[in-house]
Amino acid sequence: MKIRYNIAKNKKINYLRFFLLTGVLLVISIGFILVGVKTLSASAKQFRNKKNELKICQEEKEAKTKKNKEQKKEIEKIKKKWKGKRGFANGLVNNKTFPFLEKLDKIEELLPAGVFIRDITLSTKSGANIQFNLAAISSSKLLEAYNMFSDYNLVISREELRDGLYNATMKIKLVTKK
Amino acid sequence: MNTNKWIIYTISGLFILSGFFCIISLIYTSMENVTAKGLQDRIDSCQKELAQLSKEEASLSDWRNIGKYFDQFKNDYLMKMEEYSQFRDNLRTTFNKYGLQNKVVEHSYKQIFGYRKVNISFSVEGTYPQIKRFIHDILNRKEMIVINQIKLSKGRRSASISGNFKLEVYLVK
Repeated sequence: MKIRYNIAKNKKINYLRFFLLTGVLLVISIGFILVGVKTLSASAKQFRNKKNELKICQEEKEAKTKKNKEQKKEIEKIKKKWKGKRGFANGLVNNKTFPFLEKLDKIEELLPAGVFIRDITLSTKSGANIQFNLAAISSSKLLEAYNMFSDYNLVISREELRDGLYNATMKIKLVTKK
Repeated sequence: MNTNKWIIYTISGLFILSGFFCIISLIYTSMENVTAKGLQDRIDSCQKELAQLSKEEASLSDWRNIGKYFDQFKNDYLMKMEEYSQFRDNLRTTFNKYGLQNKVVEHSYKQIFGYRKVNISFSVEGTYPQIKRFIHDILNRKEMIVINQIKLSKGRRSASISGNFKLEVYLVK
């Protein structure tokens, strides 16, 4: 049996293992650096893009807000004009569809026999309020007429006996469907 | 020998530093992702506001077009000068059609809202059913001939009724 002694001052280095290990560490280190750089650059790029997107959006919003302020003023002007036109048209339509005949029919229906109308005024201005003079052949007939019109806010302003007829001036509020 | 030591120190240092750099970059990225999410939220809210503003912009164009509805109403229902002239002639025919007696028809003109307003007043005499049929005729015309007032009273002849009418017509060019 052969006994070997290493009596060298320094340990003998296995250069193959040494450089292999060094190389592996170097490669891993480079790998770490690459991963770090790539991660950082990708994230920075995404962040930059989002910042740009936000900036563009805010600029667009600012421009639109400014434009919208002017547009709102224009809308207000148009609305004002439109209100006048709409009021004019609606007023005309309301007056055009004023139920003159329905009101006359209703009064005819309510008028008892022996009572007749001397004069009557219907107008779109007074609306549901109708003023008329009627004459009855007897006081009981006149009272019967009052009774018939009593459900329509009847206001009797004058009553007199003339030429044997019982005359009355009265006002009613008659709401009829158009 | 010394050279080897330096190589070992350098490589180890590089390894530790690169590992540290890699970990820090990952942590930093995840932190930045949080900030990016915040940015995304701001972008989303900004875009929502933009969409709202665009809606308002669209509403302006609707408002700009609203005048056409009034023009349509005007064209369809308000009388033109030549139509009014026909109506004037036609009024006498209508009186005759319902057997009504009439002497005078008055017309007065006024300018309102850029339109010519014509107030027409006349009185007719006939029976109650004749007057009612005449009212029905006027009310059922397509044109905006508005009856403002009707006053019915006893006529000069027996069983006849006198009807005072006030009408209103708006004329367009």
